[in-house]
Amino acid sequence: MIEIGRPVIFIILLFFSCTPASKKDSEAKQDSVEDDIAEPPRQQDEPKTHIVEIKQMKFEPAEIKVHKGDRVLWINKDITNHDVTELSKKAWASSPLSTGQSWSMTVTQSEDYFCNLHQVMKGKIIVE
Amino acid sequence: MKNLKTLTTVFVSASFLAGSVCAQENPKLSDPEVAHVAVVANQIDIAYAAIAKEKSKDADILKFAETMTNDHNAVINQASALVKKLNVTPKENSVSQKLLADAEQTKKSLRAKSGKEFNKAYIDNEVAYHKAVIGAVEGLLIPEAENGELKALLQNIVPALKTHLEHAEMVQKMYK
Repeated sequence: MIEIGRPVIFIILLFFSCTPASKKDSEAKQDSVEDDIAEPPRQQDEPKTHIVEIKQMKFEPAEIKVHKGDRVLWINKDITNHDVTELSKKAWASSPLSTGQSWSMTVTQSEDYFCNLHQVMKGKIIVE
Repeated sequence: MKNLKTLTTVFVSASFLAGSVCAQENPKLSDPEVAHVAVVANQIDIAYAAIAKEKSKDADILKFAETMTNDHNAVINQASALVKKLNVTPKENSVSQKLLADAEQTKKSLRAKSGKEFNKAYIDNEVAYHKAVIGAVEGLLIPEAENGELKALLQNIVPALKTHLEHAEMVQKMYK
């Protein structure tokens, strides 16, 4: 009969609590801010999530440097709706985000983007 | 010629407001009056957008008009929520009356146009109107607002107004 001490049970519980729910990384997703921010603890080589806030009619930061496979999460903290749209051919786009809504996508290449509702609002993702 | 009249009307509003700010006899506005001017200024641009949606078939004009409708409604909702919270009833005043009177003339002028002439007149008016409103908000409403939350709301809408102006100027270049 093997006795399992309290420290072992704690480690097992910790393992299950840190296992991320399965998500399709290739798909962009729109969700509540709370759902997206609750990231599990990250190991050194795992993709990062970079946050871009939309406020006062600007993407902040307007330019971010990421690694291929990282995720970018845009959060609308402005008083008006905004979206996130690829600049040159509108190759990808979020739906309109109202105040408090967020949208994220996994980055595979450098991208220039803008808000298609306020076309002078622009941002840039640089893959290093 | 009619375009010129439209622009003149808007610039008269702008100079009236700017002049009011610079002159000794600044209109002293209470917070309920500041709130009324802010709401009316947004309602006017929604009314211009409604005319554009009615008369234009141009995709850029229609898209711009839709953004103006949504954004200015968002500002009105914020202002309405704030005045409710502060238990303030917006009060009509000489500045909001002047804005409304000028807007009636502009709407009449816009309705008299069609096709490309309308598109140009609408976007020219949007450029001029946003310049006038930015001047009024920065030069009159923000300095006059006493309540900190009302002042903060007004400061918060300036970036949206400036983005609208920049966007309108971008669309305007297509009609030159």
